[in-house]
Amino acid sequence: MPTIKTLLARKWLWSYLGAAAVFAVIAAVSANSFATLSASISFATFYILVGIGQMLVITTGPGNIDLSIPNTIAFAASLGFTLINESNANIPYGVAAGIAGGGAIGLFNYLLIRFILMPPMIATLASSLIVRSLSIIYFRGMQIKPPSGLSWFVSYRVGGYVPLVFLLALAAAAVMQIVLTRAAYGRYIHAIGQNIKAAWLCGVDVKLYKMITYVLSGVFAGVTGILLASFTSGATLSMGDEYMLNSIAVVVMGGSSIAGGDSNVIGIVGSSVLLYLIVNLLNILGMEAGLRYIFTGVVIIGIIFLSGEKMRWR
Amino acid sequence: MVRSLDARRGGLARYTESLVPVVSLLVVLIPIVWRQPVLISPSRYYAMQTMALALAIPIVLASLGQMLAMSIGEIDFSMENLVSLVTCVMGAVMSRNVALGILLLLGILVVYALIGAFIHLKKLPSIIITIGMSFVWTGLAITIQPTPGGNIPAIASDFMRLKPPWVPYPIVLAALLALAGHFLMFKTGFGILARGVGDNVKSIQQSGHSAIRVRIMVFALVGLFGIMAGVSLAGLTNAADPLLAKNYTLLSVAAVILGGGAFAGGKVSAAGTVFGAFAMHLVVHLLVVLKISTDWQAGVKGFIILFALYIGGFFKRAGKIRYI
Repeated sequence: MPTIKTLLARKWLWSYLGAAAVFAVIAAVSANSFATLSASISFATFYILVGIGQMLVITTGPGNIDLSIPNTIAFAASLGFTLINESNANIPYGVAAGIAGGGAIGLFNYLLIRFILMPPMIATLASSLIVRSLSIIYFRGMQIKPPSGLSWFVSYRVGGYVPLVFLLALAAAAVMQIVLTRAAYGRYIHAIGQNIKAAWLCGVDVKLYKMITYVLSGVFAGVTGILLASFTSGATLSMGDEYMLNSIAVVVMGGSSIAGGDSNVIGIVGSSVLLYLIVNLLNILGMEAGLRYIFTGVVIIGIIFLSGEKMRWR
Repeated sequence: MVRSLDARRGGLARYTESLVPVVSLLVVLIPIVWRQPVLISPSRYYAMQTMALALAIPIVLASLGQMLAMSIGEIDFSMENLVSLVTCVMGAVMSRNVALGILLLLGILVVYALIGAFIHLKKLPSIIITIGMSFVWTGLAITIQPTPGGNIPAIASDFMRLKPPWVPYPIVLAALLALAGHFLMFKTGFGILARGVGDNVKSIQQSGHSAIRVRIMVFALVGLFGIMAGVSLAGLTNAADPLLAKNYTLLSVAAVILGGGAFAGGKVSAAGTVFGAFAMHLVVHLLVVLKISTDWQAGVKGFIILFALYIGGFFKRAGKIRYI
């Protein structure tokens, strides 16, 4: 039996405690608290998906962060929706193209890191700028409408309350949790993140696993782009902008180490839900936009403070 | 394990390294001057100001702030939010109540000093603290100036519009800033300690220096440079806007890297950072004179970063095992 003390030592717990506390407040002030929860977890789905991708990258070691996620989201969604052209029959091609586009950007990031030996943050920043230009040039920065099939899919709620996409994101999180704790890939990227030299000396194919990681991050961002654009009635150039900081925030709030080598999928789910519950709570309370931002920032710092991240990040 | 070139390397490698920022600026500047030679003729030197050269100054200041943070191996992810907030303080508060405005700016400095202390005492990663702070700064900015507008005090805009003889004012300012930054990082005890903390904090501590003092001072200075960037941006644009400095965070990081700074800390170049900031800023003008669609603006910035790092010899690390 885990005691209270060992429970509190689990870093991911704080995000769940925070989410529960915020939900309790919502239940106290709102007549329809479950509808709020339902709306929150719909949006949290996107945080979970990009968060997992970002977490994989962060896990591979100090300084590894994917800054290209926002523009990958916008590019993948624009590419997919352009191919779909509002026709339900084209959905499979569009989704596949979105995922492939995201993966290609991830691969490009990796190639920059591998062959130009750029620090990952700078490599992903540079590629993100290039991708943004491509999105502007090929999709003219217009809002490209989703097909009705995808719109229905992302807003479908099981039993009227639980969004289907949230359940699928949970399934993806469960799969990644198993992969990270049981599969060779997971062990390897943890090893690389903790000590790249030791991992290399043990025969881990560092290059291969880093490549897979960056591609996976792009793929998660691509999937998120398609789903998010279906949810918010269209792909736009700036649709992913808020995900740059938030994707890092949910990873660290969830208890993963920003220095790498220590991942936590369970925490990402909790912190994603927490972040959106806060936004909705402050909305219900009628708080002004400015105060909402301030409160969000304070909560992010507070959770990090409580969970006691104690590693230098590079 | 991606650590950049060793600073101890002498000879040619050192020169190629310090050439990176110069080359990256030339890559941008030469086509501009080639297509519009009038820009460098003495009779028309004010034309350089009309090409919005002056708007590079806030970016230079923000980049120097980022350089300070990166010199100790940290990063400020809230730079654009801070700079925007300062423009809002200038527009919404300073014009009505100077004392309150100055008090707010001092408050920002204190918060930055506290961030430095926090990062040291709790061993919290600066990246995540400053992500949190970015929401706080934006929140404050929206609270005091919900929509773009404001009334910037004349002293700020007058100062940014001085017209010294012979040399364009932005160039004068940039040169002074580069000199000041270089002096701070290389000729003062503080600069040496800061770079030491970035390179090897244990050796600094064991030689009897206080790392927390260095971190507090560095972050206070990051705040100060951010504030100066905001004041100059407000003076130039005559606007207060919670989103005015959009992209400054990434631009400043890119400028430091272009300038030859190392991501892992300990190695910076003030002059290089100033060059890098100018290169990033002048990209728009480059596209205009080359008649390339400005749709490519972001992409060309990306390519310049790639190009500069590629020729910078960052890839030459002979004799070391590369794990990736």
